[in-house]
Amino acid sequence: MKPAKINFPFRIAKRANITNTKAWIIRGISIVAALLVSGIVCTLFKPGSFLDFYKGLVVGCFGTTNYIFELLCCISIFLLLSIAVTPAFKMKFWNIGVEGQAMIGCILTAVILLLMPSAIPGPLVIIIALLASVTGGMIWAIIPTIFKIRFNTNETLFTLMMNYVATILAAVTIAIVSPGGSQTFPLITDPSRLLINIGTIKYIPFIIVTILFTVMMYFYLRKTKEGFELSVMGDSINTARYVGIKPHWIMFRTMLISGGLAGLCGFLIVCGKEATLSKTLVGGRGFTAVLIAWLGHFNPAEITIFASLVGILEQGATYTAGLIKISSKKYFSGVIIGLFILIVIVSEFFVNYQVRFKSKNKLISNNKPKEAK
Amino acid sequence: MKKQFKFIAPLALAAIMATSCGGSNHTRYVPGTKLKVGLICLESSASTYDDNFIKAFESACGKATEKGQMDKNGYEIETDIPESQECSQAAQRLIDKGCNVIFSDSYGHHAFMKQMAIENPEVIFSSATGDDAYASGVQNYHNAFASIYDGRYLAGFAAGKYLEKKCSEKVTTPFKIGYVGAHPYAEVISGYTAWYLGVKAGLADAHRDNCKMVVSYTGSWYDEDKEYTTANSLIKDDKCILISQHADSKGAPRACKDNNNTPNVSYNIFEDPEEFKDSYVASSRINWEPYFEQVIDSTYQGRTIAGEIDRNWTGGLGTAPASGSVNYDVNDSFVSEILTEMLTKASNLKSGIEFVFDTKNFTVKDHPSTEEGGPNEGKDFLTNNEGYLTHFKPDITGDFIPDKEEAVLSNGGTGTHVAESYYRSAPYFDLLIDGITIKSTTK
Amino acid sequence: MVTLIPLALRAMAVYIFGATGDTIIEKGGHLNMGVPGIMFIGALGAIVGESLYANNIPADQINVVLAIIVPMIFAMIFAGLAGLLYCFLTVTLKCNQNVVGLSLTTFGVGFSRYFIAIFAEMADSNIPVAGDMIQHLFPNYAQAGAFGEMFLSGSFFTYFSILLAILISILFVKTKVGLNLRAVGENPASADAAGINVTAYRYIATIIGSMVVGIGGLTYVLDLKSGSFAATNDVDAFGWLCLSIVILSAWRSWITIPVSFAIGLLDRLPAALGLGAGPLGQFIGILPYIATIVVLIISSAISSKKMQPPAGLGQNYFREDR
Repeated sequence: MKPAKINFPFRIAKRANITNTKAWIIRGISIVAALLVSGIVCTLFKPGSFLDFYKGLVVGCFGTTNYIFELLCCISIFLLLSIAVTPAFKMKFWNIGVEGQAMIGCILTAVILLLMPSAIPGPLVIIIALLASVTGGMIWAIIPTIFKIRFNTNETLFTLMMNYVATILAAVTIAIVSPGGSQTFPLITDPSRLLINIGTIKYIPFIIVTILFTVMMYFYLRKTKEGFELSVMGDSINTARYVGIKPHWIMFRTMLISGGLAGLCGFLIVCGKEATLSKTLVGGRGFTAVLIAWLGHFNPAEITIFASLVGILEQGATYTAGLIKISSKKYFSGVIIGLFILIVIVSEFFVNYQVRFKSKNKLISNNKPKEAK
Repeated sequence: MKKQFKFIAPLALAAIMATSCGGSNHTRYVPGTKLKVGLICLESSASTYDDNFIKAFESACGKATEKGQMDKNGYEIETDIPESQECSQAAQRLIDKGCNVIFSDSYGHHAFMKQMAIENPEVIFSSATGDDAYASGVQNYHNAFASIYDGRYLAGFAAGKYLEKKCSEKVTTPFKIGYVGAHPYAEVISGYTAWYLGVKAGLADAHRDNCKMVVSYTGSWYDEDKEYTTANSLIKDDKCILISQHADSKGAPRACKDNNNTPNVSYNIFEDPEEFKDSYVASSRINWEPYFEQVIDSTYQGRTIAGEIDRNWTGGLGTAPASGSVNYDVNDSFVSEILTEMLTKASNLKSGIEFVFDTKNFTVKDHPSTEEGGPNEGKDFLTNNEGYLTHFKPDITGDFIPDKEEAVLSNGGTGTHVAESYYRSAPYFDLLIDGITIKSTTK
Repeated sequence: MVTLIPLALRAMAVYIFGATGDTIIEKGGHLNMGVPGIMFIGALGAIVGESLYANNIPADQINVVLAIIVPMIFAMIFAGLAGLLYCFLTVTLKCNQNVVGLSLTTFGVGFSRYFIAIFAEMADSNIPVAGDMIQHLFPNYAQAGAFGEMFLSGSFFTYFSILLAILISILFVKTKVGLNLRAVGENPASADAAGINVTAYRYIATIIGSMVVGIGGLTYVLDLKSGSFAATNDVDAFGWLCLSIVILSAWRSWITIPVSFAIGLLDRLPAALGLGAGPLGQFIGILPYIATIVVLIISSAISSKKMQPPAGLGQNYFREDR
């Protein structure tokens, strides 16, 4: 029994090209639409709260200096992870393992910062933690890569599994290190081993490092030979080989960068923000980062915009949830962000494809029943 | 170059705003003016643990409002705050809203509360169930707890009586009771030891030695799944005829219900819940309202600067089962049979005539401190020839190393007892006494 | 052992439904990373259906069969709609499968958790009567001694999951529809040339597969968690593991049965042994993922046709690209 052919009344055609302005107008509309829909959803959850949603967004993100720096740090985590993902995705290597690679960085940093003998000076401990995290992230990323190179093992699934292994390793580490079986990793309080505060302002190191690497990645992808090689590989592996690029070496090198950046992010999360270790330290932001990188077309400038939007939604929506006293507050931002991303994804369709309505004659003539086979 | 401006511009704007706004200035509270208080909760009302705090907090604030100490909306509750830097951020939000006193409800919040206390000396930070205020010396950082061991003992006492009257055939020969614990440290150990001693006290003299307890840890304060499986295993594999738990979900009561309504003594689930009505025997909980009232009142009166609020506050039993800081409850269908005995026992505990950790109630022979890899390894205690405790120096500072304070104190002529929650509010009794076995193979 | 197996069986059923449903979807060529979200949405549907039914019928008139069917219909509708959304975005709107899948999971998990938490607070967080009835399909299982205790104490869902997995396997091997779907997953271009309606097959496979995944969510709530809404909090962890199980079963749904059972055992083992608190107990949780990685490596190394994913997995098909 064959399923019948469904006749849509319109035709979908891929656009040959589209002006940048037009594309951004479409995207801009979708972003505004997404924000409007979020407000409507909020009203559905708690009637009468439409305006409060936006008030919460603004106040929760910009209300005090503290909030602003928290926001910048929140954005930085998304941004740095998205930047980590970018080179890999640009050559169509689906590294969704940044979550795990960052977590490895977190584990190594936390253990080193906590357990290094106090005789070793603070700055040295920090440097050791940094090097260890970057290396750890690299190793975590290279393992799936090696098998991809050798056996063409599916990297999407492999990197996904590595995420869970990393999370469980975090749990095991906490179980081993936590005093008296309390399952809580102690808070690292030695200020010489932390990079959180400069005076009373928090998170500056995190933010600065993120901006630095974002700019560096921009230049790397746009202005260097290696960046060019990546784009070629992303378009077609055969073309790349023809031009003399060695795909396997590029894959290897790129994943080192990707994993290293993710490990760096893990280091910053512990040393520059949390000062402890827990299973939920990365908290799924690695996955969101993949989505942000994709939405930003793997262009660091665009990624910054989307990371900022997601950060504002994350912090703002949570603040709103507290403001209007929604029940089950901790899941509210997840709903809003998920919705936002879905709507913007739909807009991508309209950027890439044109929808033309079929004329009435064509509809009628296409409606012949198919012969059964 | 144009693209770079896209993201540098907003950041520069933020920096400008930051420097021009200036920091948030928090001024010292003036006694006699309207107070503002905040509560930081690990989860939300969906969790029995936090619900307990939230209800007590709202009630205390309501009373304070009536007394004119607070405005009607003079309190804020931050829910779903995990034990991470988010706690510091939540505290900061509360400070920005003008709170003069901030409470937190979960043990894991305490490190962050202490940090914030050091950074904000004009605000009082009180971490319920925290254990290091005593040692920290930070004047505006407090801990609070209650003598929940009294409550667990009484609930156990009721359960022991229950077994005698309703399961009499099972107690005439050796039998086991089970306990689902979260983590293997003092707060939990003290709790289950008190419960065990209570059950034994409720049994008839001839049957007391038949009762042994098995403890199994889940490794988490709130894990419905693990608690269910652990309780299930205790009932099915270890043949426990009575279960209690120190865990925040309903996993263990559910397992009891699913297993032919095995009797269950609850924690924080109170007053004959409809769901578990056939397995519910008794329950205990901490009522935080008296503490909140006391802190609000004292702060309003200005009794904070000299540290007159007890920085290690330990609430106790009230004059009735549902009053005071430690509440207990017994299944309605059974309570009338034992009410008088319960009230007498409670009264004796409250007035110091009897003690839960009276040294003649238990022995510590099976696991000496010299036992390699044993549960009592490295702990500082001495027993006499029969195994009764004569000396015990627990860890008070929270670093899991014994301190110098002696916990075995005199009863005033009739013997000795371990003074729990005396040097600090959080419990510190963490010895494994005879009659209890730990099921897990790790520490 | 006696206690471990019944619990493992309950978890196994959830995994089987999830993995079988995902197998159907993946055979059609879709690597649907939205499965955790879909499973959660199915659980939400089950909760809605269960609440509607049990709250509106007096306790003594509750019919066991309806108590199973009503939530099942709701779970299937909710999950099916989620699958439809996924399909619309990937097949009709040509969006990248990984991205849509991840977004659906992010959204679905948050959305479901939010509403389930509300239901949990509203209702008595448990529908005692209906939940009780569903637990055991053979009420007299205890009479068969230890064997009965272990293997006959399952609920309707335990046995239904096994039956379904076997039926689906047969479908893929013996029926025209199944073979056509496999063709669509292996090489959509040739399938299209042969006259198979790729779009229709992908839509139907994804929607039906999602429904089956949704039943997994329902099993989680009503069976594994004995109907407790408040306990429904990590459905997505099961969902992610189902993606693993599909790989470990080499995309054959009858193999999901033993694999799911093994993983169900591993899952429950630490708590039953009392290892919950220690590093060892945590470490046991790694084993399913390590096993999956090993299988991934081996199957790609030996390039055996039998263990490969459908060749067209993860690729959208756009006719004009041909």
